[in-house]
Order: sequence, then structure tokens, then C-alpha cells
Amino acid sequence: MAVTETEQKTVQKELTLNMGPQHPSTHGVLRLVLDLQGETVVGVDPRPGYLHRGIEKLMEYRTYHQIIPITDRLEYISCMNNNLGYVVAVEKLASISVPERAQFIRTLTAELGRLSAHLVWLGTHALDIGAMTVCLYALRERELLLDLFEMATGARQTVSYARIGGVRNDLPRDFFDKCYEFVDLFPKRLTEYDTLIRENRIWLRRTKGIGVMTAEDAVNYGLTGGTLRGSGVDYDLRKAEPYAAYDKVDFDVPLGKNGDVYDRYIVRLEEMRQSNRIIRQCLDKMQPGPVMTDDPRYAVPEKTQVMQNMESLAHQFVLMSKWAPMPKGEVYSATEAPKGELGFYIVSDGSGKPYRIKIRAPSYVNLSAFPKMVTGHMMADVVACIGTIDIVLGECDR
Amino acid sequence: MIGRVKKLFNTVFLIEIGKGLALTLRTMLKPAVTRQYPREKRKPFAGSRGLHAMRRDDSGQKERCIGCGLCEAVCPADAITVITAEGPDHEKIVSSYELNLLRCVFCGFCIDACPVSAIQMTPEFELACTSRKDAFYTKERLVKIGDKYMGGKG
Repeated sequence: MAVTETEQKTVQKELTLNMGPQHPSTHGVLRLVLDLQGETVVGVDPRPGYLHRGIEKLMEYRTYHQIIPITDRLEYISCMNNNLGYVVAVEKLASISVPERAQFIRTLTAELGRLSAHLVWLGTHALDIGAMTVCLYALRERELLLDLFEMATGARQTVSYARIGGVRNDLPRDFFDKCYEFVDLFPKRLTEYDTLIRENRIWLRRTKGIGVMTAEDAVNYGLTGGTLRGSGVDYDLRKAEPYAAYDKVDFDVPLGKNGDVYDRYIVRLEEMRQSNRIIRQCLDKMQPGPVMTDDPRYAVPEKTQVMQNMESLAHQFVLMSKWAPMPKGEVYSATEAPKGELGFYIVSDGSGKPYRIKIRAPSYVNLSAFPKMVTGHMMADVVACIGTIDIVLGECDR
Repeated sequence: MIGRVKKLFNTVFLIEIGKGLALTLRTMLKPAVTRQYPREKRKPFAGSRGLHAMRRDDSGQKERCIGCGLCEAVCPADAITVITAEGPDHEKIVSSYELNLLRCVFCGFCIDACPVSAIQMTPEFELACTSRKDAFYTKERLVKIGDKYMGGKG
């Protein structure tokens, strides 16, 4: 049948659609400007920045110690990893050595943080695609994690746990029992999620062959974390440049093959299994010992010492009010956060406050690959692709 | 061949959907995990970081705070204001200690910094108030909370 001129015009006309910034499936305040041809997405322009709070600038006006609570607000569902990423960078700048028990506690809590982030990812991602039960189950397990956080640190979400040179406090005794309980329970729960969606035909239809990134593209876009490993590139900073106690524990880095939404789901689910393995090893291998560095320049003195010892008291006043002078220079240090490579670039001018801090936020970099993933797919696949790059806007916009 | 037959069997009889539904059914029969919050409260963990409290000194007459202002200096959110003055016997007294809960981020740095352990955190987390004024905690209010959680003595 011959297509009339008017019909041709109608077919070729593009529709520009704003998705967000308050759309529930954009995981925060992300605005997407979609160019649609019928149901097909022909172009997309992500517009981040609605959650910009000027975190990097705020950091310049606070001492190295006071910055720790700000890092909680970067990627607010895995605060442990952000705290860790920041203090590792500061420790690299001032070459502070951290005692072994603190290293194990950091590894343990960072992996618990990874689980809590991945559970939120799994729940919301599945919910976006249409599987509601997984969300309820994932958040049920996350509640146990938050209880563990509250036991260890006193807070459920914004933990502020890592300190420069160690951690805030040693883990309480009953934490270990609860944590062992959780570690025993969690693999069973992972199997439950798998039962619900791994072979589900709707899930397969919605995820297989969607948002494909080849290994070459993924590397070129600078992707990191599960988004990169889903394409089969073996790059994990915990293995490549071990920090904390990751060189002392045994774990595998799961890899995908096709680089589609489904493979990234498989990779992240397997990552949770590996995190569980790391947590168990940390619990087993942890030896009693100090949790704060013995470096006299930066070690925050113990409370009992502060009350009895004049020098400790004076040191406490200096550290808490203006922090000790840091060496001049600049440093870049990256850690493997749940979303990918979380890097802190610190420029120090020798005072107790940083001259400049630049945060390499994995969410922001991963978002750049979003147009590549989604172009050519259907409108309904947009939410599947947002879910699979696993972004948190708090970190993306900073 | 067997694989294909199995796949066909699974597709026709909705095996994976059935497994998923069986799981939800099993979960349905288990006791609920949801806590009915306002009616049913959880016991807070020790060391939970909630509302602040001021301890009394050893005499039990006044607050323990010595007015050094370290909590004010370390607070990353500028939530604390300490004003000191000279007392009748030329000693330093804390004339005003104000905690602005609207700014507080509950990081616990003031507790870590306090050289005399005067300020503490309680597991109190229900902090909703109907007036802006109620969110400002003065010295007297903080001491009262301290009495509630730690007794009248220092």
C-alpha cells in the first residue's frame, strides 16, 4: 500500500518527552529528555544536577575530620563505602598506617554496605520492571543489615563510622553473633530472589538483549563496577589495587558475557554471594587489637586518656578543633564502591583543611553510557536501563 | 533432545512461575516481619545515636559541661552554640548551651570530642515537634533528658 505524504510526515515526526525529575523510576531526581519515534527511543539526553548540594565546595570549608559525615551523603545507601573511600585517600596523603583489626572491620562493614546497596538496587530494579515481590523481600533483608549497622555504629543510615587512621569504635560483642546469623541466612535468601526472577519468562523478555554494552564500549565510556563487569571486563579495584584487608580474604570477581541488563543482574547477584563470603572470612580472621592507628600525629586519643593525661587532652583539642597539619601535595585514591570506582582526589596546602577535593563518582560516569544503552530500544526499556546502570543521584550530582 | 523437551515442558506448564508463586505462598504462611511501629516498638541497641543529653557533675547540682567549646568547634553542621561567662567566684560558667536539632546530623562528633563526657547521646529518636522553638535544646532541657536516661547523679 502506498504511503501518503501526510502519513509519512506523521511517522517521521519525533516526540520530545521529559521523563522526571520526579519520576518514581528514575531513582531520584534525574531528568531524561527522550526523543521518541512512536514507541522507539531515538535519542536521550540525561540532565543530572537536580540534587547538587556543592559537596566538593563544602568540603573545602571543613577539617579533614569534619568531612567524614559529608561523605555519608554522597551515595546515601552505602555510607560505609563512601566513608572508607575518603579515609583511605586521606591516609594515603599522610601515609598513615592502620592496624589490622581496623582493616578487617573496614572490609567487613564495607561489604555489609555493598550488600545493602545491592539489595536496594535489586529491589528497585525488579520493581521498575514489574516484579514487586522481590522488592519486599530485598528490603526485608536490608532491615537486618541496618540493624547490624546500628549495633556497630549507632546509626542506621548515615553511619560516619570510618575515622582517619581507624574506625570509630570496636565492634560490640553481640554484633558478631548477629552477623554470623545473617551470614548463614543470607545465601538462602539470595536463592529465593533467584527463584522469583532468574528464569521468569517476563523477566527474561524484559532484560535479555536490552541495553547491550560491548566490552570495548564499556571501557571507552569509563564504566566501572557491576556495569563494566557485566560486559565481561575483569576489573575490580579490590583485586587490582587492594585496600583495607581485601588482599587477606579470598573471593571471586563474577563476570558477565553479553553485557545486557540480564548479565549485569547475574553479576550483581553473584557479587552479593561473594560479599557474603568475604564477611564470613573477616569474622573468622579478625584478631583482637587496637582499632585506631598509633601514629601520634593523627590518632584521636582514647576517652580515658583524654580525662587523665594532659598531653592527650591537648592533642584532642588540636585534632577536634582544627585537625593536624597534613603534608602538602596531592593524591588520588580509588576504592571499589557498590556502584563502581569511587575516587577522591585531594589537594592539600599543608593545613588542616583540604585545598580542593574532587570526587570521581561512579554514578556520574556510568550515566554517560546511558544514551548508548537505550537508543534504539522501546520506551519501556528506559526504566530497565536506568536500573541496570545502578545510579544514585546523591553521588551523581554531589 | 531431552533438554528441548524439558524446556518445552517448562514453558507449557509455567514451571518457573509456579516455583515463584509457591515461594510467595510459603512466605505468606510464615509470621509477618513487619513491625507495627507506633504500637509495637523495638528495643534500641546500646550506643544508638539519638537525642543528646547532658550529664550532671559529681555534686549533682549543676551540669558537667566545662564550657570548653570543643563540641561547637568539631560540629560539622554548626548545630551547637556555647556561651561562657565569669561566675561569682571568678570561675568559668556555661551561661548558655544551645543545641539546634534542625541542623544536627547526629554524627556523634560532639560526643567523641567532649573531654569530660558531659554530652552524651540517648537512643531517643522520636523528635517530632509542633513548633520551631521546640527543636532548640537549651542546657536545662538537655540536663533534664540526662536525668531521665542517666539518673540525677553524675
